[in-house]
Amino acid sequence: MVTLDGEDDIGGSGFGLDELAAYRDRGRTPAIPAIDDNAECQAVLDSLERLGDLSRELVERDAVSLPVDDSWLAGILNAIAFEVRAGHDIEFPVEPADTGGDSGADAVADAPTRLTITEGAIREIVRWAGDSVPDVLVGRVALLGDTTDPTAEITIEVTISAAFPAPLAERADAVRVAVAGALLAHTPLRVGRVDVTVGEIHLPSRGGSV
Amino acid sequence: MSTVDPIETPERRADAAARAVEGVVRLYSATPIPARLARRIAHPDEDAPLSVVELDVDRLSVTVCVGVSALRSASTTAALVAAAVRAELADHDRVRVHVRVSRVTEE
Repeated sequence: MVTLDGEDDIGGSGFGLDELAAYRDRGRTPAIPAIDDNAECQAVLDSLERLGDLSRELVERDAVSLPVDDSWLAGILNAIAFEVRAGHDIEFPVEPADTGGDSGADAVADAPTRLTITEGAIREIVRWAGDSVPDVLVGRVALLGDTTDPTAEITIEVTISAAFPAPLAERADAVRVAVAGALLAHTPLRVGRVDVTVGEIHLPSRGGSV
Repeated sequence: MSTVDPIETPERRADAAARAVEGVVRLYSATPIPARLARRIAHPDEDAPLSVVELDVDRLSVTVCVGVSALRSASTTAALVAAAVRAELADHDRVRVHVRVSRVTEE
């Protein structure tokens, strides 16, 4: 039995992790608009799909015995539920004409056109970029720094699980490159550093993690 | 060119304009949580619009929440959505558009 102590109500939908997992299990039918129209719920559902797919892929390809124990799985699920929260709106740069040449926060917020991305969306980008690296599952994601200040450098902290015998340094580097590239492509953040910590190694045959 | 019935509400017109932009994977509710819950309780069967349009003194203030494809730049897609919504609501003199990227997905 997996114990989830994360957000009971994902994105104000009225549905918690258990209910979202059940909704996913029954093929997302009958459709529930409060879930389907909610970005945070959809991020959780897609993360659940990806987590299941990646776990199965590792097990099938390398005969790795993933430590699918309560605490490991619950830890990732709770991290996902926490990270999908929308958080702050982070401004994309706007054309000077849209702010009358004023780059101050009030002018930007009052501009005829305002383009933003949520912190939750950014954490999700980090997660799928990291998960795209073979033999890697992202455990936790953190954005450190003032994301509301467009001039501030941000540090990204990513904790991953990796399958043995994948070369850990190479995998960590690959995660770093994938995350930095995805953030550069899709967000206005000035990423100073991407710190990758290998939190767990999944061992073959013997099972379990270290 | 508008493909939406002009007598539709601005919210639904904004929804349709945003959905038609290439790179937009889906729309999400832009309604603040308390208002969303209240609306759901009051109108449980309503197919509610997802964008929010408010009359702010003498101008419309539109908020659209989108999920966009990672195959394109999120900021570019957001800018295209803003332009599409503005064009759709061009019958209003002053329109302020806020496009919030709520998700970037690999679709």
